[in-house]
Amino acid sequence: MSGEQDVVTVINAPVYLKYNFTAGAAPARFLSQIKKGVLTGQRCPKCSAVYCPPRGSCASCGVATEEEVVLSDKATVESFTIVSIPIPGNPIEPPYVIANLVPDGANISFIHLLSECVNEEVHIGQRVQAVWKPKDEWGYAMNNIRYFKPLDEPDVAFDQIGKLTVSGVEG
Amino acid sequence: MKEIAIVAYQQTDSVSDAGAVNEVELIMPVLARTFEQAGLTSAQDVDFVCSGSCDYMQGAAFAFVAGVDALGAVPPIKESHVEMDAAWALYESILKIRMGHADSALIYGFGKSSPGELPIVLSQQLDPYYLAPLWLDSISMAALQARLMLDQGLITERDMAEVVAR
Repeated sequence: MSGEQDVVTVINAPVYLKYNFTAGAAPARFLSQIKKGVLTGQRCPKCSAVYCPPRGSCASCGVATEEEVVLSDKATVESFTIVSIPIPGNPIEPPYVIANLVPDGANISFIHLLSECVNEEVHIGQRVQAVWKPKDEWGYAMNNIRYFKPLDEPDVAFDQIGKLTVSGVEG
Repeated sequence: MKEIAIVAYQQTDSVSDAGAVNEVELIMPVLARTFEQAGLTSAQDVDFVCSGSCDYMQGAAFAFVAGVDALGAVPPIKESHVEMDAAWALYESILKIRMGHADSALIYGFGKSSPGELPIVLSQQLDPYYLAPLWLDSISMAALQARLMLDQGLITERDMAEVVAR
């Protein structure tokens, strides 16, 4: 190689592949409900656990979750983390709280944002409720719920998290 | 050396478009039929489970993990996965049995090709990627082989056309 030329040490060779993604039959049922502002779960016919969002099977039993259950948009914090480091491509500015939340009436948690809260005061067992986007912005997506915010309700005892009925702490 | 037999075998219908179902939903009914055929109830009844799949087909990293959701893996089972196909998973299972670590195995291979352009997608699966992808897809590969055979006089264009016309 001639001395005048720059030595190439790195090249970029990005790979782009196009997919027509399909969520699956069970997630599609969930998504068409959340488009209407209704949070639903699906119950395992063997162990009765309610999944939200459903993926198509009960991961414990390996069977399809056919029965649909309407859930509350109130939930309990199962675990959480305070994110302080910006994630490339993520528009949310740190610090913010990501939590595993179990909606009332379900047994398995999903991950969502917590906001309108004092980050340092977020705790396991805390009661929260969904803050929805305006109705005309609803699509087939979990982010129809903008985030969850704390509720003025007593904490749920550790061994009761994920066991509340759809009527919540009163149930 | 231990003799190994295939005692049950099932597969999904081969269709050009699997529609809206996802991988777990495709796997579950096939497993159920296989268990029934072998007189088993679930993956809990076998010593070892191994799956083979290609993440490029699903277009997601670690997509094979979703396949495990079809197994009923509670209480925990011994499970493994290989990136490629069920034949490769079968190979791992044979080794496992031959080494005396299991007496039975459930092997499943899965992939839903309809979401992507299959030849292009599969070109990525086996691309050696030394510097940049070669993008050598199955159709180009077949063309290269055909050219080689034509040039060596092993086959004629007419021979190939007769296969196509069958």
